[in-house]
Order: sequence, then C-alpha cells, then structure tokens
Amino acid sequence: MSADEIAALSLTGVAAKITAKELSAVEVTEAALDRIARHGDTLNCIAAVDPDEALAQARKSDEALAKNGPSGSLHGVPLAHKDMYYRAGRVSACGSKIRADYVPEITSTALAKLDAAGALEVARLQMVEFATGPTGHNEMTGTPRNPWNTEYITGGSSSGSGSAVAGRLVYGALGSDTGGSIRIPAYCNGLVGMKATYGRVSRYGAMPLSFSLDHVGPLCRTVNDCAVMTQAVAGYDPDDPTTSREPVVDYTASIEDGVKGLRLGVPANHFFDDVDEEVRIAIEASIEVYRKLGAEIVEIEIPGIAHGFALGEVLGRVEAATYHSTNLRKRPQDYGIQTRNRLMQGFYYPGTRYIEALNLRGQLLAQFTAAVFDVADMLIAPSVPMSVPTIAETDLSANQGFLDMIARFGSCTRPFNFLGLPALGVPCGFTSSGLPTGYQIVGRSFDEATLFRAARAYERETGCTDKAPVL
Amino acid sequence: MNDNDEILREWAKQVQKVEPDPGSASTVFRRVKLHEGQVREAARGLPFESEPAIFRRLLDGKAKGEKA
Repeated sequence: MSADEIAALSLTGVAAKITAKELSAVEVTEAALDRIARHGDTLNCIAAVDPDEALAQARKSDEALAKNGPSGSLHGVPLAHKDMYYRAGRVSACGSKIRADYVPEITSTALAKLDAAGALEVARLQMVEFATGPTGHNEMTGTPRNPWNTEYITGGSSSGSGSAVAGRLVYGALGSDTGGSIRIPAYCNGLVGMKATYGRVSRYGAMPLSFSLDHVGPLCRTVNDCAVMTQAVAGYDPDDPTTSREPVVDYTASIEDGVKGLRLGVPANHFFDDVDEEVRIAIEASIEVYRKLGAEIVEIEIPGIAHGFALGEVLGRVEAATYHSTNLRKRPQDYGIQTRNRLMQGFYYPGTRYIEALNLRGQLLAQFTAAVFDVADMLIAPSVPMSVPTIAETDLSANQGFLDMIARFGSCTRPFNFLGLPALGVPCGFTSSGLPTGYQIVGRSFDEATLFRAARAYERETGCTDKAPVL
Repeated sequence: MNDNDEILREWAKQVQKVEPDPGSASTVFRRVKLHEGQVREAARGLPFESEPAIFRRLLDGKAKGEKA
C-alpha cells in the first residue's frame, strides 16, 4: 500500500491491520509522517513534530505486539493532539507566546489512557491561543487551514485537530470543548467529534480554560473511530475530582443496532431561529433520514434555553479571566489582541451574576431534561448556524463585530457545555461552497452510546464520512 | 464609549488593574452588559437554587434511569 492509501484507512481499519500484522506500526507511522511532511505546512496544523521520536515509538510498538500482542484498541495507531495536553518533560505551548517554553511536570490522564490503549503520539497540533475562540484564528502561531479548501477556516479552538484529521495526516486527535471547540471543527472539517458528559473524561493535565465548561474529547473521521477513541479516554480519574464514577459502557456494543424505536427531538425554538438556509435544509434532510430509518420525530419546545449561551458565557469568561489574570496584568502585550479582549470580558461581570449562572445550571438542566428526555431519547440541533466562512471573512482582528460573530458561531454549542450533556458532532454533506456541513445530537447524561448508535445508523445510510478532501 | 462605559472602564482599571484595548472597549462592554442582563433575567425567572451540587446529582440521576 502507498502512504496515501494507508493514510486513507480509518482509525479502526488501520488498528485492525496492525493487530493482524498486515501493516506494521512503523509503516503506518511513516505514512503519517509522509503526509505531515507534504501537507503540514500547507494546512499549518502542526505545532511540532519529531519524526525520529515518532518512529522510535512505532518500533517499540511493533516489538511489543510481537512479544505480548496488542496492548489495546489503538495499538500502533499514530495520533496527534491539540497542544494543550501535558506530557511530562515536553513543551506544551497552548497556541501561545506566553507558554511557548512551558514544560509541564505531569502527563495528562487523557494522554496516559491513550498510551495505555497502545496509541502513538506523533505530533503536537496547532490550536487557538489558549483555546479562546471558535474560528481557528491565531495571531501568534498563524491560522490553520481547512483541507477541503485552504481559503476557509477550520473552526476552533481545536483548529489543528480538525485540519490534521480531515487532511488524513493522523487518524484521530484530542480536542477540547468549552463552548463548542470539538463540535465546531468537526462541523467545519466534515468529522465526527464527541463532547461527552461533563465528568465522563478526565481533564487532569489538560490546560484549563473554564473548569465549569471544559470537556475533553476526540475528533475522528468515522463514528466507529470516535466511539473507540472516546472509549479509550473515558472513565473515573482519582486525579480529577470532577470525573464521575458512573460505569463506562461499551460504546461499540450496540453501535450497529439502528434507530428504529428511538425518539429524535427537534427543537421548536431557539436553535433554528438564526440558521443559514443551506444549513437548515441539510439538517431537515438528515431528520428525514432518521425518520426513514425508523426513528420517531418529536418537535419539542425547550424552556429557558434562550439564555443558555449567556449563562455559559458568564461562567466561561469569569473563570478564564481569573485563570489568566496575573499574565493579563503583567504582560498583556504577549496575548493576541482578540484573545486579550475575549479574556478581558470576564473582569467586568459582577460576582452575583457568576453565582446566579452557576446556580441556574442545575435548574436549567432539570427543565431541559424534563422537556426533552421525557419525550425523546436525543435532540438534533445545528452545530454551527452558518455555512463555513473563509479565513478572510472572519479575520476581524479587534473590529467591532468580532465578538458578535463569535457569539453567533457558538450559539448552538455553548448551551450544552453549560448543561454538561453529551453532544456528538456529525457531518451531513456539503454546502454550495464545497465545504462540509453537519449537526449535533444531544443525549441524556452518560448516554453517549445512544448518540454513537444513532450517528452510525445515519452514517451507514448516507455514507456521510466516506468522502475525503483532495490535497 | 458612553458615560456608563467610562465608569466600567475606570472601575476595572482601578480595581482589577486591567483595561481593554481602546478600539475594542465599547464592544467588550456591550457584550458584558448584554450577558449580564440575560443572566439577571434568567435568575428572575427561576427559583434561586443555593446548592450548585444539584447539577451533578441530576447528571448522575439521569444516568441511573430516573425519570426527569
């Protein structure tokens, strides 16, 4: 197989071939490094790569396979992650100038779990500076480019993760999602991205932005890939007291069971109020696919959701400003101007509003679950209410409109960070610009399995993850 | 910037020791006031819940199949 043919395999496909010894981890890693060398600069998605280290990992992986068999579901598979997952002794720059030389002393639990599953980490991926924005722009490191058309944004803040996985440079990548930063790049790059339930995946050793809203999760090319990678990182972690002890079910056990008998909720308010026509049409067509596959479609009026964005915004901005307060005071010039102004917002919200937002979280979740999950098993909503824009269209620097544009971008995703519910980004075709479009499906807490099952039924029916960008 | 924005700007400068960029200040203050107002409105419309841990109890409860 050529490097491009190897790179075109899915994560689960390549893992199966490595385990069956049809391909070696070295061959697969060489293919990934070849793609990184040829396309990494064009996509500007790689923060750092060490080919010698990557190949050394691959050789060890092949030796371990020969000696002991596969160490886990990801044995020998080259991955790369958003540059905010700490590995002891290695730089983690977080897309910033401020942390350009930051060397953590700990390894994040998410990376440790992927290591235990046998995965290789072959590069660090670009990201929005300190994960603060949804478009992918980064004044400090440059803006990653969308492999479907390099004039377009990748979405953010897991911009490099979206670009590298869609570009077939690696088979999967961790992103992080505080207001949509897994689901938005999944949308922009035609990928499947899981923001699991708050507490499902450990955040220990991941750069914090907002401890109330931060979620760790993967971006992958197929639903199965995403289920397998989510499985690898999910679970209780004594190092992260916010993780849950709820047992992690097998996400692939029922993934082929289809949607017959499941109830799919469609919001009657808020989520479709400000959606581009092309995006609306694509989601309506997707709802019809679910109906055809046997799902019951239920229209639902959702109380209180209109304020979900503002509630999340107040929590997120205040917590981020607190975390960055020392550096914002001492060296504000070392932040990009957009990052600085986004973080700046958090200094101005009254403490009473922050506490109100925190306390309303449980109330709103109770309202939402009663309204939605008493009558449906999952909810479909736009991930992003607009078709993917170009880098130039969204390069607003500090212009008047940039905060408004960012707010619209995250208006459908951020409410589910506030509520903590699992949400899976699913691609559903392309708009007239040739860029991907998609939707999110939202489930009961800790019911990620139903989301994977539904998305897999949709994928099987439509082939929504079959197409690859030509670089 | 209007007078209210000027008060906000000066307060943060004195108390928080931060200042938004002049070109962005009015946008920052507009967004802050918008969200502050929306949260205040949301808080008015719902009973005040003084124990944020209810959030985790709800998540865990749903996972055990409790009816909402």
